[in-house]
Amino acid sequence: MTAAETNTGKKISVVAIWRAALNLFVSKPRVLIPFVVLALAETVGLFILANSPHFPLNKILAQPIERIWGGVFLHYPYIYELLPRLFYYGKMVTGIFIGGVTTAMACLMAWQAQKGKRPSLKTAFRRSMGRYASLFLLMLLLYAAVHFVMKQPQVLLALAFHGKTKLLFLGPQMWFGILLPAALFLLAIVLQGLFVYCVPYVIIKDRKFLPALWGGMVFFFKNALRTVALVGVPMILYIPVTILRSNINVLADKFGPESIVSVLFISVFVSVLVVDALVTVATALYFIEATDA
Amino acid sequence: MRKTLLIILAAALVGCAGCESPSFKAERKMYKAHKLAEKIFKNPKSTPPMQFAEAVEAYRRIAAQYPDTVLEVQAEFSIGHLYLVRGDFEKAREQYKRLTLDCDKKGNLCAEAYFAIGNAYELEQSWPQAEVQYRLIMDTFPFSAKSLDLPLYIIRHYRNEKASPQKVGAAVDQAVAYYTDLKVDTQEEKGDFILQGLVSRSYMEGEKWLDALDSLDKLTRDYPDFNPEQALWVKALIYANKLEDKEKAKEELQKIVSDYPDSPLAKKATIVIERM
Repeated sequence: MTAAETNTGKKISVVAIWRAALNLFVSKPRVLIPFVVLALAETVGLFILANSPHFPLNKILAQPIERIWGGVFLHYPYIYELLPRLFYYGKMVTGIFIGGVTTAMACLMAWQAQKGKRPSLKTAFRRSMGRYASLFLLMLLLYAAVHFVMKQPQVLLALAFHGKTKLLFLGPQMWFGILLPAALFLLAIVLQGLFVYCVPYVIIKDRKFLPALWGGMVFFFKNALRTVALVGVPMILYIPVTILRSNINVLADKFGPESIVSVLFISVFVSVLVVDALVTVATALYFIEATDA
Repeated sequence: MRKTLLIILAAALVGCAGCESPSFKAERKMYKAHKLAEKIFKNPKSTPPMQFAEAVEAYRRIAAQYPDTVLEVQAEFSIGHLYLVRGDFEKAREQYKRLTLDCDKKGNLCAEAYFAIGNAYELEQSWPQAEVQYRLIMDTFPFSAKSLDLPLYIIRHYRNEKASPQKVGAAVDQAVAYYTDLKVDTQEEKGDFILQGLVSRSYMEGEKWLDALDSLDKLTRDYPDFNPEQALWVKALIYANKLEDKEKAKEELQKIVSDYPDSPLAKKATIVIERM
């Protein structure tokens, strides 16, 4: 993507934003610390869930697992079969309670660096905690949207296919194997894009929850193409992890059920330290440039 | 203070990995043994002897390490199954026989072991000896799930082997007599109902359709509290598919609609009547 004019009339090249984001990571690596914290929180969450059948964690986790999914999932190797699903919910919890703060911290540190100041973890943390309620609500909304909206294409496609062998001259393999994953990927980019500027509005522009939500969405629609590029390119890096995760049962069969934990750990590393870091910092820099924040 | 708390928390979390219960560790060992066995089950004849011995040894270790547990029983059974797929029937039976000791304590598990011994004979094409084992289960463990299924299993065997109608008929008569005798010992109406249902199934397995219809009549007449419309549905199926009497089939379906209008089968019956 080449240079394009923003709502402030400035011409901002997406490539230049990428370059600035990568330079920031190299020159001020402390910008990455909030993501390291989030990755650590998710890793601890993964560790706790993987050990849920064992003492002392079983005192808290065994009962809900037994009630919701059945007692068999507290046994070997079934706990590892359940782990990706458990971790999905665990990731939601860490994302809602911690993710908002770490994202806001990274945005603010990027802003500080952009303004020629030294990115301060302490200031970023204090200011983010001061806006915890808005950040919490934004993350809650984002995860709820992802949870409910991402399921719909599969449901709709299954309904459209009901009693048919082909849909628009294409078979189920083409629809479910290629077109559905592609549609889900695009939907994930759009959903992420819709919320990605809300956090800078809260932390940089000091807006409250609703104005930030509205402002972030309007900003996205005005800068849709560039945002899709800024969000979509790092998300491509997550595709190998998605492939790995969709073949998790094959891996478990070959290398043992414990390998599921390793795959989930890799997914934490890539999603938080690579994808989230790139998306957050690049969109924050774009936001700063475009709004003269 | 904060640092100390963090260190304690981190140590507790890392320590959790070592807090696996003995049963979880045992399950992991069993899983690994099953994985070794899986390769043999997939390709029993061409498995190298070393690999076979490794799998058997893995199960033996579990059986020795966890005596008097379900894992021991599972391991012993699995060793038997390994010999069975290799075609070593004698050793398989020896292995299963180990599980028939202390039947007082093991109860229905013994029935499973005897059934496995019977299977080993059956796979060796020694049906008479297999039948001896099966009848032993029926006599010794009369109310186990296995023994309730075995008379039907025996009828199915004779039918699959295309045995003479006399042999099939004799097997059906024995099954009916077996279930009828058991009815004497049942205390509850539900037990009687289940056994009468098995009598009907024995006739159906033996393709004695008229007797099956009589038995199903008895089921609806004597046990009106146990969804009698299901027996009527089966009767309709017999009339329509086996005796090719569509009028009678329709009559049974109409009975379901008129006598049991609230039953889910009533809706199905209405649809089938319309199509007829």
